[in-house]
Amino acid sequence: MASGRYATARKSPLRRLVLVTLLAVGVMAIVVQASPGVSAALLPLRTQAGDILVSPTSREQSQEPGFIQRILGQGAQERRIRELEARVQELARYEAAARSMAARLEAYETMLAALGEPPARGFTARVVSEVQGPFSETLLANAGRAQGVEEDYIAVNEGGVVGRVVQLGERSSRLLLVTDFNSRIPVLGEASGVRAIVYGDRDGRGTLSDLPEADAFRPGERILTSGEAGMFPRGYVVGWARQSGDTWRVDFSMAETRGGFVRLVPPQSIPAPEEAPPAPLSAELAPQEGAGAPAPQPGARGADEASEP
Amino acid sequence: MRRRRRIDRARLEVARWWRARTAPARLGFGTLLVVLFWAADLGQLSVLGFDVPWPIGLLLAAMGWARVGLAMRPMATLVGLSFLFDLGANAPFGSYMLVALSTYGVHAAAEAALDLDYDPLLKTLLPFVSLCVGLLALWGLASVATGHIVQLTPLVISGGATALAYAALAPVFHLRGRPGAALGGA
Repeated sequence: MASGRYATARKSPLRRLVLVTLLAVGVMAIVVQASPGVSAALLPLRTQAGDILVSPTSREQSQEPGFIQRILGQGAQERRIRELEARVQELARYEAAARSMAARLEAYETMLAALGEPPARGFTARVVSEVQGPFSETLLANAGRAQGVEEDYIAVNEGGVVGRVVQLGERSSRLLLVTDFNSRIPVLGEASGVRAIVYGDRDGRGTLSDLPEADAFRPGERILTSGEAGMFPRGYVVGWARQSGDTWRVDFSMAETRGGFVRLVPPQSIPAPEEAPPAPLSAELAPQEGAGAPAPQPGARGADEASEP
Repeated sequence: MRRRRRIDRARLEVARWWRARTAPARLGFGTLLVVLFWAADLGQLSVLGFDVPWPIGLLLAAMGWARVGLAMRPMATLVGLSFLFDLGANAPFGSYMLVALSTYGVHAAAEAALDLDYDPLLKTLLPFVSLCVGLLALWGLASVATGHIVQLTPLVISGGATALAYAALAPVFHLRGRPGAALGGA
């Protein structure tokens, strides 16, 4: 009836052999992928798959209401909701920027003439899928190389830091969440000023490590990015500190306001002096000789922009 | 009373229709279901506004298809589907293949070695044992691949969802109709 094909399945040694061979192939495949070269070679396949996954939802993101919504007369409502959502996103960005500026102001008051952060530029992308499996905790966003996103871009939402771009496709990017175990962010306490590294613990919270022995965070204080190591810009909200036994944990602020959109901002890129080629001596002297403003130096972008109000 | 009779008649019709399907058709239907569960999990679909854990469709298929013993087409389908899961979970290629085939192998071996028709307890326990094998394999592979011990709780929650789904959908993943079998050919 349904099938006589499977009637003798239990007795076939060939099938057992195939099963064992496939298992061996699986083990071999995993072992081979431990090599960074092979893993890098497979990366385009993964990013292309990400692009394909993004494609259907890109249509959803268009501002035009669908056919059914038009028939039901919900087009205007839908458009209004989208406008308001965009406005909320924009305001949330301003709020995050204001908080960041407040943190910076505090630093400026104590350290006169301190250099600030370059203003953040970036793109807003929609979160297409979320992977919280045992292998990694990542998001797939529908902006990629074609939109100008680059690897190591920082993702933030209304709450704070979400993660950073670890894989880049043509129209998609995979973000490693701050909750992932492999995520490491240099942070500081807003009130205590204590610096540490936060990493994800796969339970939705983070753990603060590499703390100085003498100091401690204050319970409930905000944890901000410290801007060290030149990856995450300084002053982005990461979460709130809480003590759990002997360890300090972080309640990630991004988890509380997950609205389905992330802002992808470029990482802090301030080249070290040895990386930036020195300007010729004559060029440095030229403005002093003349009456004009000093010539812009390579790598001094942050300092120049920080001087703007 | 009349309503109940009508429901029973509808169930019988569905069962008769399902029993008339050939094994490849059942395999295709099961594959579609696995892909749907995969997409729902990937898109974090909520049900009536609630976030629900979605079953691991690959394990459902591995357990269900293993009930008729080892066969080439189910194995090939599992291998194909496992690549989809590898891509979705950002796992090393081959990880979900190992998980699915180990579950499939264990379940098929147990089905062949034990006389389950006369032991209802074993028949009930076997899917849980196979599921545990699959989840342990997944946990072990994830721990090795990421370089640290991954949390068991999310896996246990997914496993619970998979067990519930299996209890409800086991007949859909059964590839061979048996004469006089219960509704849906289970």
